[in-house]
Amino acid sequence: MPERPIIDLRGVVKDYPTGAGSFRALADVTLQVEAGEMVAIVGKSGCGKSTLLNMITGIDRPTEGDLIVAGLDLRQASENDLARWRGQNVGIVFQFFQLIPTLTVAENVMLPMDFAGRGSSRERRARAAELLELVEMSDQADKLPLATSGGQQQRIAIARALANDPPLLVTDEPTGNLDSATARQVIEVFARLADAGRTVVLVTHDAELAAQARRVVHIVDGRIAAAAPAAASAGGYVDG
Amino acid sequence: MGSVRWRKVLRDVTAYRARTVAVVGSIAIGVFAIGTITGASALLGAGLDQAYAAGRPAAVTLYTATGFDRELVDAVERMPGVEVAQGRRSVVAWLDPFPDDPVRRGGTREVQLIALPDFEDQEIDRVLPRTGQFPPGRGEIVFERSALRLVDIGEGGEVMVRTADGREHRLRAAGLAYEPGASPAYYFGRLNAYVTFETLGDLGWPDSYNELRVRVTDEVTDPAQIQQIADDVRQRIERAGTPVTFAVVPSPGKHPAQEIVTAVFLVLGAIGFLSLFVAGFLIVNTINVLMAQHIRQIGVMKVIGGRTRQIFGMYLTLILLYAVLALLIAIPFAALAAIGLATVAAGLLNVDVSGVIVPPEIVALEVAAGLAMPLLAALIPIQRGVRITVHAAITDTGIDERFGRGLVDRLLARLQGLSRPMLLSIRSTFRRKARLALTLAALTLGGAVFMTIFTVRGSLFATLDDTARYFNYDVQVQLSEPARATTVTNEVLRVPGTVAAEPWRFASALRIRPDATESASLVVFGLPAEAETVAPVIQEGRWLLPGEGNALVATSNIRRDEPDLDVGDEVVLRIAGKNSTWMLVGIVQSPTFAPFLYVDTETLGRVTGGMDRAGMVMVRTGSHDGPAQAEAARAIREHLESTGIGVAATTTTSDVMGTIYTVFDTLVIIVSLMAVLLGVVGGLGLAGTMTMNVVERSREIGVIRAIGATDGAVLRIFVGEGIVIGLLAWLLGGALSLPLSKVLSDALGEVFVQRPLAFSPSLVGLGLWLVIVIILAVVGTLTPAHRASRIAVREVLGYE
Repeated sequence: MPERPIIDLRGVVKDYPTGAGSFRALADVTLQVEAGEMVAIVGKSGCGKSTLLNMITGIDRPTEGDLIVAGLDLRQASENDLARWRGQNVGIVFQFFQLIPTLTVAENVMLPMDFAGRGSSRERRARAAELLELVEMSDQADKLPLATSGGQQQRIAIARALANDPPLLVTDEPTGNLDSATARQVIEVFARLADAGRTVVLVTHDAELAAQARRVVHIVDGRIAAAAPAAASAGGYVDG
Repeated sequence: MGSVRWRKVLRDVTAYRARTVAVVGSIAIGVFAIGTITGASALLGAGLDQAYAAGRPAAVTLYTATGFDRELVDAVERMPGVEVAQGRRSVVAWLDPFPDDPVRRGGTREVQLIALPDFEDQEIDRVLPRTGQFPPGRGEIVFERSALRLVDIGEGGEVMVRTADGREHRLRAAGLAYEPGASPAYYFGRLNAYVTFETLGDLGWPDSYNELRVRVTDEVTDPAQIQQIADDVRQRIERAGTPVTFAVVPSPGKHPAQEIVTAVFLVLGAIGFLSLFVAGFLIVNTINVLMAQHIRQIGVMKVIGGRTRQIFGMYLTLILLYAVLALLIAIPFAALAAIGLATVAAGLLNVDVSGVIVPPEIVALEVAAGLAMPLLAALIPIQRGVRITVHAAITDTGIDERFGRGLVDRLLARLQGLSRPMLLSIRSTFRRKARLALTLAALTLGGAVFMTIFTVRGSLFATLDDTARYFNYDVQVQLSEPARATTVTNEVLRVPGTVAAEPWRFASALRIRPDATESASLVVFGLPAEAETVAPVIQEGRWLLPGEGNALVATSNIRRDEPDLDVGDEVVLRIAGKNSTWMLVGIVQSPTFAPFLYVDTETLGRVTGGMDRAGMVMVRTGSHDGPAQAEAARAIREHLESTGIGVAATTTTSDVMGTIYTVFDTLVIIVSLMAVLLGVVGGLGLAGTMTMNVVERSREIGVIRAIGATDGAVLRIFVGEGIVIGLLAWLLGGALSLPLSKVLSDALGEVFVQRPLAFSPSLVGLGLWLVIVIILAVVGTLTPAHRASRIAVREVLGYE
């Protein structure tokens, strides 16, 4: 029996009520992502990329359709089940880093392990040090996030996303708030992670980042317009 | 706090100091208020109990018209139910505390000289040594310590005592004593002092007793039994030919002041509870601010695996930390304040505060209130905050788009003719209605209590003014023994400055009830029916008519002990051992705690024997201020004594009112301090709300600034919003204070004068709170508004 895709979306629809009636953000989206794949989701602003990401991470729920991610039927799960599931299966990296300002760099990385009750205090600290080493932030471990640059904060956010060693890493515009040199460093981190066999789903406007993906999924008006290998697609992708 | 999430909780306390100060401050104020009031009440209660126990108080005190001897005391002591009896003599004289001081000489005061048969072995109403020599020797006088509140008497010096016959005697002030059961000197403006019977003999008084104090055996605890013993003792000494003028049978088992203290602390306790309640509103608001600020953090924590219960626990722990900090601050300060408050109140009551340790149960109450109140207040805001979905948390834009749907919003949208920033201030006030309601509740309640206190104070004073009007005289002259009424009034009117004088007489009476039982002693005044020196407020029936004979008017508080009395009833009174029947024609408002009966003076004369006699003279003077009354009292006394009429005591209405005002003002000051605390809590609440408004509207502020608003304009919009809230709270608080102050002044009135106080809404309180609330609004808004004005456009474009 073939292994189930780590992300399995079938006929997913998402409607949002607005003052002017219902707005369909996603229309009949079907998408499978295999374990170890690196997939870039691209499209214009408002096309539904972030909504799709929110579906995959269980942050938002679909109006219709089925979605099973990392073995969990997200439609059936409670908020608490989802929180626990995310803690162990999904690492999320946001555009604006979203670090906890009152915790040090290392403590931010340790927090997901804390919530998951993973390892002893010493093991958590060792794991945080290891992850910060991976993103080349070891020397900043005891600083507060405010004392680090945007690029550094994004790398810390990646380390935090990896804290519980999740099989799936999801990022929303990870380079959107960074200068090009810093963005490049971050792209390299993702490339290394993908090479190491982790499933990476990234929403991006960044053609260079999209080019790192094995597959690029184009979203237009809430629908998947095309899914093509990155090399064929990234060069022609321009967003307004 | 090894785990990272607990470290986060700890840092949320230390990193956001302003918020920590606001939450901890408001919890601390609530706990402080409760702790101070309950602590002071407990300390004072213990002090009263101790004073009561130390004093070994009499269950019955009988005052007699003529002297009696040791033999009669021994006979009473052998009566059933009587444990111990003691005879005393107490007489009133005039004291010049500084006869040798060229400046202060001549400033006389009334002094009650009390002689005890044995100062060493006291078993009843004990007088305890304090400083100097005790007991006094012959030619020496020892003052009761509360005298120091009226006169600065130095030990070892000489004082001059002047007796009713005008003779002067020098006595050495030997020391100070403490009589736990005695009324403090300032209650009646009369000093209490102790001398031996030899000294009293030197001053011209006989070597016999005129007071009998009785303690009953331990088995007798029922007030009815005690009253029966009092009646038996009275009959026993009257049989021996000694008429009893008055009998006092206080409530057994507790200090006489206990009832009033309990009532006053109940009122204070209610205010303390209200302040805790107001603090609760503040906690809700501040926790809402906190949750609004942390909404993204909560979202992120959920994204990285934090469960609702875990995050809920974190924020609840945060509140617990705030509460513990508040308790650490509030408990010691409340203990100090409780001791201070109890000491001040104890000083007024002439008792000692026992110990300086607040009882552990009070500390337990503070801990319970200090933990429960914030946790309860924070429960809903935290629950709502942590239950937000991840999606809602991380897509929170900080722009509230709900305005414009409700009726109020649409009405506000029609508001025209004001500047755009002003319109923004007014409309923004109503954007978050639940939050506005909480802020308004805190400020309104604080303001309502503040204004209530002013109204209650005004009503107390209005009532006292009514009382002063009731006693429509300036000086009351009590004669040593009844004198011819026409002679004494004529002589009084000869004194320059007097404009009217009315001869009154008084007697002690017992009501013989239809079931043949006797009432407690009552004072019956005989006065001319057309008397002008009393201005009663008729509640039922009417006042006395000239030539009416046996008509009787009673003050309304007669019904406290004699609830069956109604206008039109026949009332049997035993006066001077003889029963007489009277017709109750009217009930008048009671001016004081003790009930009075009024009858025609001639009719009373027929009952007591001796027509055209006066026991006292009520005098009206041309000028009504204190010094003029005191001077008139002195001049009347000297003149009457020069004509051979002995004066036992004089009382001016200024003295009486002054004493009462002093006692009430102390109460009002204490309550006003509580009101100020409430104001501070309300102000903190407003600051919290405005901080939250700034946090939530950062993006909007950015937009306003992007379209050209200067720092000043942003500042004005937010300060304007604060003032709108302040004014609303003032209006609502003013309205709420009316019923609140009515309830409170009615309750206090029942305690102090057995009737509602003369309700007198205070415009001063209203005006003062308006000023305070505007200052609070401006000060409370300034910091968040200033922060708002500093937000750069660039910042809000990337604002989280």
